[in-house]
Amino acid sequence: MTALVLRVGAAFLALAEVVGGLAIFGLAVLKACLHPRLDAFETWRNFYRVGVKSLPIVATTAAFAGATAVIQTGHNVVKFRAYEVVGWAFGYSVFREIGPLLIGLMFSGRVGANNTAELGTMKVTEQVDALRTLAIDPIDYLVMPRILAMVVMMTLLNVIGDVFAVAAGIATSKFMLGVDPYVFWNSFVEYVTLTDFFNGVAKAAGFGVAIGLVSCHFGLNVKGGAIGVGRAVNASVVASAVGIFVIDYFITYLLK
Amino acid sequence: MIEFIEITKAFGGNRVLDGVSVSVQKGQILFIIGKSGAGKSVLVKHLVGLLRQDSGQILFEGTDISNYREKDFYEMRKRCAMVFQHSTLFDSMTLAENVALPIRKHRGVSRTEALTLAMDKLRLVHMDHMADRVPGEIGDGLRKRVAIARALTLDPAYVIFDEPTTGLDPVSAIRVDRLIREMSDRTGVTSIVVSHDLRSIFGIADRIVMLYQGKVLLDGPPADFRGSQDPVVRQFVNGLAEGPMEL
Amino acid sequence: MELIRFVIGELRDIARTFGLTLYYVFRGRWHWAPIVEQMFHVGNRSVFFIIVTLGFLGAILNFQTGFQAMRLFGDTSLLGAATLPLLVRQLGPTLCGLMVAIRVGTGIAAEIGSMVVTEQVDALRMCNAQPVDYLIKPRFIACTIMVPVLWVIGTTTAFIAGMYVTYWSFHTIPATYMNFDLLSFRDIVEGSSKAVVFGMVIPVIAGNSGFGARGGSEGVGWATTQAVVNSSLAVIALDFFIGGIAFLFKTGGGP
Repeated sequence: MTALVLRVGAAFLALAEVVGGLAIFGLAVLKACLHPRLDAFETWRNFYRVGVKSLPIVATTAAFAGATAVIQTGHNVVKFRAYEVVGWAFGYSVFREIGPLLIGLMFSGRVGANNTAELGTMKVTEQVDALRTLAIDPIDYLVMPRILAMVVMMTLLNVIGDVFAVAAGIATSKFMLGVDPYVFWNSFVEYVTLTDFFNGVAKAAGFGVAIGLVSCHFGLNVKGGAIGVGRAVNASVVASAVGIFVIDYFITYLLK
Repeated sequence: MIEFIEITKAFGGNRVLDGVSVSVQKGQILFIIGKSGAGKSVLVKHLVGLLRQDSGQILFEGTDISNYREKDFYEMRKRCAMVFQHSTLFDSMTLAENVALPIRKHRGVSRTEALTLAMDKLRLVHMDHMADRVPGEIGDGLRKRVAIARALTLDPAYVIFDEPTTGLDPVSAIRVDRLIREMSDRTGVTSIVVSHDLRSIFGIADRIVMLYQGKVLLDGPPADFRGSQDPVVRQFVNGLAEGPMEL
Repeated sequence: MELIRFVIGELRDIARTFGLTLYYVFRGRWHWAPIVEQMFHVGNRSVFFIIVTLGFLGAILNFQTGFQAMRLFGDTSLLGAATLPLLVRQLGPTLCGLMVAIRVGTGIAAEIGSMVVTEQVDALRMCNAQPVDYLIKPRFIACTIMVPVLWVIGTTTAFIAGMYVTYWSFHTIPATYMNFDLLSFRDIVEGSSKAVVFGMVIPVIAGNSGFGARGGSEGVGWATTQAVVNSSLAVIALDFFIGGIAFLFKTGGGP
């Protein structure tokens, strides 16, 4: 019994440490936002790398997400012979929910995990300390450009992903459901509103913030060599996923 | 002038520094020596705020920096540079960009200008012909040279070298030693060298401080060190396996 | 072009590791101790994580669908019945798979990757132990058993979380929400087969990335990233293919 209480207590403390650490880190980043000293070159480099790194994977994910959404709505569409609502059902679920969620999770895996690994390696090889001894603030120089790049790119990639999802959705409904692309498109344009689209965009931006903060925090707090870096990447993607779901929930609630 | 006064530092239950007092005179090459794990690197990292002491005081040119916050250190770090044991160049940048980074951040010059100034610094360490390589492509000895060039970019008054020759082959090691001496003579910079390399110690040191069991065991010029009758010092100088030194 | 070559090379490596794993699963001896230990790891490591994430998923799903239903029909009494099949056959297994890929997959890659860069895997080879047999097989068997279990737990959690949301936001009482009429046996078959397949591919892909780790902490970081990306992508792609096959079976092939 005591052992159980101790274990629950330890787990709770560990959780509190992560949440507290993230909160302090978030405040430090917020403070840095007040008088931004962005390094132009580093920012540009991060934009480029984040974009190039994740575009193929986001496009693939979005295409599969769109295709799957059509198949899954297809069950009811075929049952009720309601072919004219495919475009709407597809657009509503992909733009608002499935698209940003899956793209966010993939982005976290590709860019977030990579960012944690990179910062973690810099930390264990003392490159972060080297930066500090050169009188360069790691938050200004390393963290800010990365978070900015992730927020902007995540939002942008979500929009690009939507395009791929629609293309895949049209193709799938043509070949699997036999729905004419014209019918699909009509119902899509008729019922899917800009609100649906911007709802997804808002989520993507929120996910970008979460992934940026979490992945930088875990990267800069790596301890203990190569094994530590592996562990930090693991912890970082897990925390990002929880963050994504929590933010998703609140944005859904706020923007009904 | 830098003064460490009665510094103590413990990691967990392990007391690494137990009241260490050292003063560093301007223009000297001061060696801080001792066996691995004696707290040499720990001591010097206190000076630039990478580690914080448990008790004691550090005076940097008369200013008490013991209670500085991270932000306060930034100004003094421009005057006191550090060369890390593993060079710690930034992997993602070329050698020239590595050296140009501090110039770009603190001199308010454009990227191109910073790169030109970086080339001058690289020339000082005879590395200008490799400026466009990345750190992963070159050997340890050459990386160390670039790290020294990077540390000198802001014309600091003090440079800390953390085990500059450890892990280098004998030829590269002696070249790095010579470079440290050259820099010291040419620019009058004060060097604090952490080392346990006997050859460097007797080659270029002006003064030696030996740490043992968390305290200063010996403080003086190399001649004192060589002539010391202390059994621990004698064991270290002669590199003997048998002796009073703890395992 | 380079990307295509990279993808093909990666797929070939994964296929080889997968084949080797199957070979050892059927031909080699089963040591239960490491398998049970891994099952404990997989389950223990991810169950809390899956309850949290899938709980939120259930809540979000019912919010979204509920608002839409209110707008269209002004009625949410069928919310539970309508969302359950989707949860069971698609969102449940896919999100469970993604969470396992994130939680367990990265763990496997980090563990094996660290062993590779510290030359422990070479040491294994020197002891005549096959790395795939010794390291991947127990994880493979453990995940194949545990991911379906997590699928049941996750889907149930999502459904129950949805119940609370519909009660609080739309005042549909739980008795009305708990409606299993639209759930067919096919949905359960589709969902469970997805869970089993995800359980099989995640450890193989993650282990394969771990074996590819080269050189220090950078290599481990790279392997871990690779593991989460590849296994998540595999989950999303297999979700489409298995869903497509199930759909064709149901509608009798073609439109």
